[in-house]
Formats: sequence, C-alpha cells, structure tokens
Amino acid sequence: MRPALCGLTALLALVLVSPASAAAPPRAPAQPSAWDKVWRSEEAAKQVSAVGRAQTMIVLDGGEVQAVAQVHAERGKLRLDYDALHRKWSLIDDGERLVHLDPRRRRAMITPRPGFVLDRSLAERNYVAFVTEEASAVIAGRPTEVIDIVPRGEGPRVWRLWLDKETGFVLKRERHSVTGRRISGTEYLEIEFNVPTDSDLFGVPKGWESVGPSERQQDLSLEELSRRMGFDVLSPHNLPSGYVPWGRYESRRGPGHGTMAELRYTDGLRVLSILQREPRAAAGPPGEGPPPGRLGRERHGRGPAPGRGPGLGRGREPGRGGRGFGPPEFGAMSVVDRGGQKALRYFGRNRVIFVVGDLTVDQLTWIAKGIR
Amino acid sequence: MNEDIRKLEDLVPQARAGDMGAFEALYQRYQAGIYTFLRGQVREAELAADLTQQTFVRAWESLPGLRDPGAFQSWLHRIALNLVRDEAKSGRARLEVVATDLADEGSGAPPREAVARNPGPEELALSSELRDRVWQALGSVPAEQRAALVMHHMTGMSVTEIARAMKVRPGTVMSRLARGREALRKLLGSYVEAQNGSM
Amino acid sequence: MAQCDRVRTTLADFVEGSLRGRERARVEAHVRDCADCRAEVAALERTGELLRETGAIPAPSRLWGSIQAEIAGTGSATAIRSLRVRWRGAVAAAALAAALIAVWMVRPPEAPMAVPTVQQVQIDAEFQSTFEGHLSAIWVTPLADEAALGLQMAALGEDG
Repeated sequence: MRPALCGLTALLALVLVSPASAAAPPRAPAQPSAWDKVWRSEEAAKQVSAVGRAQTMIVLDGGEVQAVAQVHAERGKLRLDYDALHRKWSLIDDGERLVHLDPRRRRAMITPRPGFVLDRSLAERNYVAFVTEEASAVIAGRPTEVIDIVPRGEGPRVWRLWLDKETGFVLKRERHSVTGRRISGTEYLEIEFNVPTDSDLFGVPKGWESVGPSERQQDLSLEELSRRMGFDVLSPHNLPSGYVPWGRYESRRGPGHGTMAELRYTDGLRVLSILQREPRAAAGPPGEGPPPGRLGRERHGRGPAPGRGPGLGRGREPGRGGRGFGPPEFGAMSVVDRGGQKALRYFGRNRVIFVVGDLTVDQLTWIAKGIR
Repeated sequence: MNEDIRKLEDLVPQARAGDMGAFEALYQRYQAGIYTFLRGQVREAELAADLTQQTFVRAWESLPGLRDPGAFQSWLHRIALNLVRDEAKSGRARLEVVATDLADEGSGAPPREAVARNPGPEELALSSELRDRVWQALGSVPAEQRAALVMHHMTGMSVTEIARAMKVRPGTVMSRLARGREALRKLLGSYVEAQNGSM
Repeated sequence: MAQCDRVRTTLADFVEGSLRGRERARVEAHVRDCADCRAEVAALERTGELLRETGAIPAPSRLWGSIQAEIAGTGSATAIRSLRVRWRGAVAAAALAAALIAVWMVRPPEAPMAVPTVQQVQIDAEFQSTFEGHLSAIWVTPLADEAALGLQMAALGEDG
C-alpha cells in the first residue's frame, strides 16, 4: 500500500507543479486515468483560492432540503456561510478543526477534525471511475469533464463529479445511496479562482464564546478501548465486502451523556460506524435498560442508577402495548434514515449497538446481529 | 441408493415450488453435513451455526437456479464454501475464519488457527478424547484437504460430488483426500496404529 | 528396504484408490510381502475409519426455527409490523402539525422507501450524536461533499 501511495503522490506533485504553459513533464502519463483525474482534483481543492456561491441539496425523511452557501476556499481551508432552515450559520474547516459558528448566540462549537488520511488505493480497489458523456458539462459557465464512480461489484453509481477542465476543481457533485437514490448534491452557481481570502475568515470571531473538545480522538487498541469503557468491546463478525477497519475510539455523546465505544470502517469512500455501550445509559428515554441486577456485571461508578435516566421525552421506541414504556426487548431494533446515511439501534445481549452508514436496513441488521 | 435419489428428485422440485415441508426434509437430511463442514472451516461454533443458517436460507432463495436435483448436496456445499470465502474476505482485522481460498490449489501451509477443539455433546461412538484428537489433527491439515476429508469420510460424499462442490477435477479431490489422509495419519500416530503390531 | 521408501509415498494414493494399472499391481504385490507397509496401509485405512466414526455433528436444534423464520419473514417481525402501522399514522399527523418539518420541505416527498422489518423512529439525542460523529468521519473521506454535510449537520441540530 505505502509504495503505491508514494508513487501516486509523487506523480501528482509532478503534474501539479509544472506550469500549464510549459512543455508537458516527461513522466506525466499521456492519458491520465479517470482515477488520476479524481485524485488530481482532490489535490487541486487543497491548492486553490476561490470564492463562490454553491447550491446544495440533501434528502431527509421523505423530502429535500436546499440551501445556498457562500464558499471561501483558501489553500485547503474552507468556509461555508449558509442561509437556510430559517437561519444563518457558518462552518469552517481550518485543517485542524471543524468550527460551527452560531451568529445568534455568538458561539463557536468546535470539533477536532479527524486527523487520519485514507489510503486512496482502497477506493480504487472497491470502486471504478470512468469519464461519462451522459451529463451536460457546463457548470457556473465553465466547461467540465464528468466522471462517474461506481462500485466494483454490483450496485448503482455512487458519485457523479463535474470537474472544472482548467483547475480540476469539482464544480458539481451528486451522491447516490447504496440503493440508487439521489441523496445529496452541490453545484456552484458562480465561482472565481485566484481570489485570496483573508485568514481571519477561518478563525473564531473576536469576542465569541468557544465550546467544544480540544483534543483529537485517539485511536485505541481494542483492549485499551475495552478497559476505558469498562466492558469487553466486541468486533463485528459480519461486514459488507470491501470495508476495512479505520480506527477505534471513545465517542463522546455530548455534555451530560456518557461515551460509547466506536469502531469505524471504510471502503475507501464510504464510512461505517459501529457504536456500543452497556444498556444502562447515563441519559436516555425513560425505562430504557433492564432492571438492576439483571446483567450481573460490576458497575464502575459510571452514571446514575439504571432504568431511570433523566429522560429526554423524545424519540421513544413504541414498546409492548404501544405505550412507549418499559425496557426494550432483547432484539428490538429501530432505524433512522437521514437520506443515505441510516442508523440502526439494536438491543443486543448486554449491550446497545448502533450501526451507521450508507447501507440497506438488511445490511445494518446483519452487521448488528453479528456483533458478539 | 436409487430410492434416495428418487425422493430427492421429488423433494427438490417441491421445495422449489414453495413447499416448506419438503425443504425441511432436505434440511434434516443435510444439516449435519453442512454444519460439520463449516465447523471444519471456521473457528467458532456460533459462526458455523450462523453460516449453516445462511447456507440454507440462500439455498431456499436460489433453488429455482438448481437444475439437477441429484446435485443438491454438492450445490449446498458450494453455497457453504462461498459463504466461508466471503467471511474470509470481509476484511475484519481479526480473521476468525480458518480457511484460505479453497479454490486455489493447496499451498500446503497449515492454517493459522486451529479448528474447534470441542465439537460438542453429540452422540459419541468414540470417546470424547479421541474425537477431540481427531478434530485437533484436522485443524492442522490444510483447509482444502480438510474440506475434502470432512465431505468424504464424515458426510459420505463421493469424489464426484466433492469435485462439483469445490469446482475442481475429481483427480484433484483424490489428491487432496490422499494428502489429507497422509497428514492426518502422521498426526494421529498411535491412535491409528494396531496395538500389537499384528493385523 | 529401498523399495519401501518408494512405495511409502504412494500408499495413501493406493488406499484412496487413485493408482491404476501396473503401478497399482506393483504396490499391491509389495504390500502383500512387506509387513511394515502392510501396517502402514492399515494405519491409513484406520485414519479414514476414525474420521467416519467421529462422524458428522448435528447442527443446533434451534437452527431450523431460525431458518424458517428468516425465509418466511415471520416471528417477532409480525408483531413489530402491526405496531408500526399504528405508529406511522400517529407520526404522520404529528409531522403535519410540526411547523419545522413542513416549513423546510421544498419539494414533494419522494415515494416512501421500502418498508423495513425494523421500526422507524424519530431521532433522539442518542441517534443524533451517533450521526454527528459519523458525519465528521465522512467529512475527511475522499470526495466528501462538505457543503451537503454541513447542511446535514445543521438539520440534525434542528431535529435533536
């Protein structure tokens, strides 16, 4: 894996560094493959200075949500200013952190940007990229080349990318779910390159409150994760083909909530997250979890007594008799579909399991049941 | 033998037409063979049970594609084999599955993990110590040989049937059986030697 | 005996029945006269017998029930299905009343997705945080659509 990546990066560096007007660099391929173009485009995104406006669309339960965002991109940093959902907000990626700016409360919520890089050969192993003539190719007034990315086995197209012919920047992209539904898309309405953006725009405004963890999640061994969680973290026995492990973490659930053990997997382009915790939640729907003593496990002084959390009054699973109370039965499953990404919650033996990803419900179930 | 085949020729089309009772009869006839085969390929009993379940569910779903009812057992084992291969390819960090790719000509290298040490509380013709010993020895034998040995000696499949299941030539099956037998003989040592040196 | 060494390597094939014609006759003749090789043949045959006697292991008795349930799609799933039918009606009414959902529907809903055998529920805080973490992970995958992800993150905040 390593040598191939070094070779590819070296090749890309060579291609990007040489000026467009000079003679073609001797080692650049005469005909770059579609994947080459895709990776070149990813690199381009980290190099450009650009300002533009993009329209973005996502699909949620049964409907679409659209927004127009002002975009500033400066050598790998990104700022998106949204006006949608009856409010304005901004999102900044400064390479180290994701910052969510809430202008109403003058508050910045900060999440460390996950630091790991994906091996590109994994994506190439699981997906095929090819140039397509199917779609019209002028976006924001600029000519583009359109590339489709399709799973190597069976399955509908996952990505369609419109790459600016001049810079390689992705001017439009469309994402389809594992079942072939269009689930999101972003298209630049206008864009100007080589317009530098002030670095102030990528920081927290003066006088604003900053909230959020400052350290990155640490990738832990299974043993260490189990030790920190206080129970044996189990690995999945069932995984869709192509997915490989991509880290193990303690996943904080927000202030006042506990942590979950998170196992992350990827197939190079898609992410699968598997989270687990013991049934006694620090906070959760009332009545969740078995009555005390049922598990026969040492408590580690974590959180309040089982069975009676503060409760949130939201999102209860209808239990027996439809009253919404009582502990969920072993094997109870519920799913939330955010348009593409689905999350399944499964009450297994001695643990509650979440499986999140762009997968079918059957696949999520199969994965959850295989965690033992 | 003819009697069996004839019944099979009834059961398979009936099951294919949706007769659950016929499918259950098929299940009862072949479940032990499949389960034992899978116990020989994956380390955990629970996983073997899971894969057994998947084998039969998949068989039910793919029955329309089975043209020759007489090949049912081979076809069933083929499904099980593919499931094992899928498990091995699933990319999990900790490989639970014993098997290497069974379609390859054997590398001769023994598998990394041992096969289940305790096959379970079944009816014992042999002492549990001996059965334990046999399974341990099986675990040290290359996966393709193990697969052939289990199918032939424990499930009673013919060389032709095994060849169909593993998608190799009958000669390859015989070679795997012979090499497997040899390897097993060495591992079992005194367990298979006559006590007094006389026949 | 030198001949023994040569024959030894073919004994397993002999026992298996792979040897043919003259080679088979040769080995047979040798085995007839050689006590050591005869003992070896016996050991090899006993190996096969031992496997046979060890026998097949029956699958756990509960397995047929699981198989049947999975094929027929019955069992606990039916009870859940009837619950879900009632629940969906209630949620549909609540959804209409909820200004939040009605307001940011820009286009009419697509055809409903295929009915799963698990319940669909509304998002609660736990689901929300699992999605949040998941979306941040997607942020750093190749080709991630940051603009769309940012919108999804915000929409999560609305629901939770």
